[in-house]
Amino acid sequence: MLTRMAIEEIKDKDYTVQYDPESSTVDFIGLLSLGGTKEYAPIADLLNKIAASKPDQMTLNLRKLEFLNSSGISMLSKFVLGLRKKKGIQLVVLGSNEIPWQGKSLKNLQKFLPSLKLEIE
Amino acid sequence: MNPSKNISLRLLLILPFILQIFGAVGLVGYLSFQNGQKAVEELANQLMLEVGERISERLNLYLETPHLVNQLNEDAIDLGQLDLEDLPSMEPHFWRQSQVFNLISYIQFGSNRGEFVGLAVNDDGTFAYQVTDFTGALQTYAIDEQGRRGKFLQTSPNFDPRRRPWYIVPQQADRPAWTPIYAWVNPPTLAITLGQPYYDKTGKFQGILATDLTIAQISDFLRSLKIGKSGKTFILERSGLLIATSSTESPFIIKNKTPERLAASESRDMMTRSTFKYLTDYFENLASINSRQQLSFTIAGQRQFVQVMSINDRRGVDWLSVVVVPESDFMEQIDANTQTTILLCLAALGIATILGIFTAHWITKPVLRLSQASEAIAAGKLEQNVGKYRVNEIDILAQSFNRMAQQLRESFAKLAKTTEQLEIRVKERTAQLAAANAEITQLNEKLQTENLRLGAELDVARQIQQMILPKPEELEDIEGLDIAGFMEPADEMGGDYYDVLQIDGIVTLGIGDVTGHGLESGLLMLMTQTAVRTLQQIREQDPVRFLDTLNRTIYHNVQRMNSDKNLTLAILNYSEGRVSISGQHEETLVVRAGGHIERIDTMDLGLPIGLDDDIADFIDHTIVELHPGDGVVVYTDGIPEAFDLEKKQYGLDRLCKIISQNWQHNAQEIKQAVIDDLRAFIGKQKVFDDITLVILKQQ
Repeated sequence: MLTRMAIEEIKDKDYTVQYDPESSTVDFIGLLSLGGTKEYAPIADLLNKIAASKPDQMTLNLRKLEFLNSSGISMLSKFVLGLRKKKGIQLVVLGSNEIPWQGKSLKNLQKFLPSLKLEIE
Repeated sequence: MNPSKNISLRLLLILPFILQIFGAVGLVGYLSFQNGQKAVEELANQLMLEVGERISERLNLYLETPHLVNQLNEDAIDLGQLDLEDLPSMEPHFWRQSQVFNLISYIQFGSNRGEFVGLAVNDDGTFAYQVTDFTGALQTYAIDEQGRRGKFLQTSPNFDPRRRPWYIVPQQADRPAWTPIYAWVNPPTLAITLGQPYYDKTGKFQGILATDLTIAQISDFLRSLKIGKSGKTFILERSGLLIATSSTESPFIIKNKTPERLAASESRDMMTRSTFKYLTDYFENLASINSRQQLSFTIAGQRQFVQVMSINDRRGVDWLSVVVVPESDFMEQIDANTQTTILLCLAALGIATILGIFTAHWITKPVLRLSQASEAIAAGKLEQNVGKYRVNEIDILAQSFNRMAQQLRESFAKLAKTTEQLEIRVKERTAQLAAANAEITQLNEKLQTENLRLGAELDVARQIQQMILPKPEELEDIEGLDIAGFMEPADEMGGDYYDVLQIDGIVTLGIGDVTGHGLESGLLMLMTQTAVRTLQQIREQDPVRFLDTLNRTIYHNVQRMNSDKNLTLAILNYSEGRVSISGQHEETLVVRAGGHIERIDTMDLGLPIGLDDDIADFIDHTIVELHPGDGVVVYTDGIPEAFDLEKKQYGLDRLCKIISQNWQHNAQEIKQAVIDDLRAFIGKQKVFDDITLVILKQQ
């Protein structure tokens, strides 16, 4: 691609979701506790749009996401389930042991998509 | 501005124009009149000069003739042609002279001895010889046509020529000299005689040769002169006595049958009299007039030109010739000219005035039209066109004006159009705004309706949530177990579920958390509760089949509902001191009698329900043995993930700690202690999620 996509950003008071096209990485920062599927739609759309462009590898960096509520986990789970049908995209999820919700929830993602590379440190 | 104090353009153009014309015409008229006057004066003077010259010439001719005759006779005597000793012998000579010189009236000779011979020219044209005889008597004879002495006519005794003025004056002067003017008795006339002394060859005085001149002839001559229309001339002596005049009166009057000289001051002719009076007044003494003088004076308001000049022949004639001409003689023509000039001037004035008014009108009309049009434009009436004019500059002005008016119209039209467009756009915008407003209002109403609907949905969901909760008495009915349940829905969130069912000594405890809130979540919860109860009623003991069936049921229903909701669910089956735990949910806390807590991770015991069709592979179960005083605590994420004001989470450790500290109490008290501690932690922070807590304690 000759034209580089600009860094896309979805931002609110408590959180930032930032996409860097260069590295096909989505950084989730802060606390995400939106009220349901509708409110998570912009983030879900961003993730699906990236997946639609079929990058070889796609990274979700959750290491600075201190909290994700159940709707958020549900949104992530659905995205990962969706990737099962799209072969050829290596999904990498970066997690942190220091953040309580991640330890268990991220393993669920791997269950939905066995090829998912989960890097928890 | 007061318009009455302003000068109208028309007046400004006409007034100076007319004033100029008046000035020019007046000046021309005045100069013309002056020139006429001057010309008249010059003409009169010229005329008088000519007349004077002619008079001088003629008088010179008159006065020279007697001298010529006397000279001829002297020559004849000298030459011996005439004999002084025989005076009658001179008679034919005299006769011949009288035939030649017709101006003379008498030719004569008087000797120093008193003898006399003469030829008289009578008024009737006849001639007579007069000769003294030896007695001294003067004998008069007629003369025939050949000049011979005719019959004797008369005699006058004692005639001595030496006593006559014509003899005395020249003898005394000893040179040719004129007698004073004297009056003839018969015929009555004035005459003057030039006498000339005659000396013989020895120089001895012999007598006087003399020739008479009748003055009546001068008057005839003067009358023959044409001096203007009524000009007059007269000749007078410096004494004031008239000699000749062009008027009808004679220069003498008959008094007692004797002619008497007439003074000019006595003349019956008014003009003569007045002129003489003027001259005497002017010169005081007529004797002082030497050169020709041209003067003018008035008689009864009428200007008269007068010329006076002296006539002098050096032999004693010293006269004045006077020519007087009334100005009116010349003025008639001049007056006519002046009248014509005045008429022409008036005509020119009239034409010029009319032309001026016309021109001014011609110039001011378009200017007036322009000013009216300008005023009209200023008043907002833009439809002004001042047309075309034949005066170049005015036309340029008019065309410029027309163009400006046109531009103004166009500008105004453009402005009006713009304004119109603007208005249309404003209308459109207003309409759009109104439409948008209507849409917003509609949306707002929709939103309100939606809110109401959502509110209603939430209410319904909450009611469902509350309705399907196990009743406290149900929990009390379960033998061998002390169970306390708590559920508090959050303001908005929610979807927590718990149930405790008992059949055939098997107690099934389900706890779940449906994503989202509202009717769908409520329905999902209801379906889950129904499915759990169904599976429990058919005594499904295999955890995998239990959860797999439940998952399929929920999944397909969720698909049908076109919903994206799912839930976490843990199923605990208790029977005779053994608890089987399956399904993925929060960590299950196993509390031993002393308060020691074992945390059972459920991540590997299942997957969220309703997300995927087949989760059988991921379902597992774990068995926990309970002794008396031991128990199990399940909860939803609303407790460990509750935030305080500093966004700090309540946390599982704190939950475990408070449970551990209160485990000696019954389930109800333990539950209350946990809730109290949680509330204390949350403080005034908003409760984001449903809070559910179930305490199960084996007795």
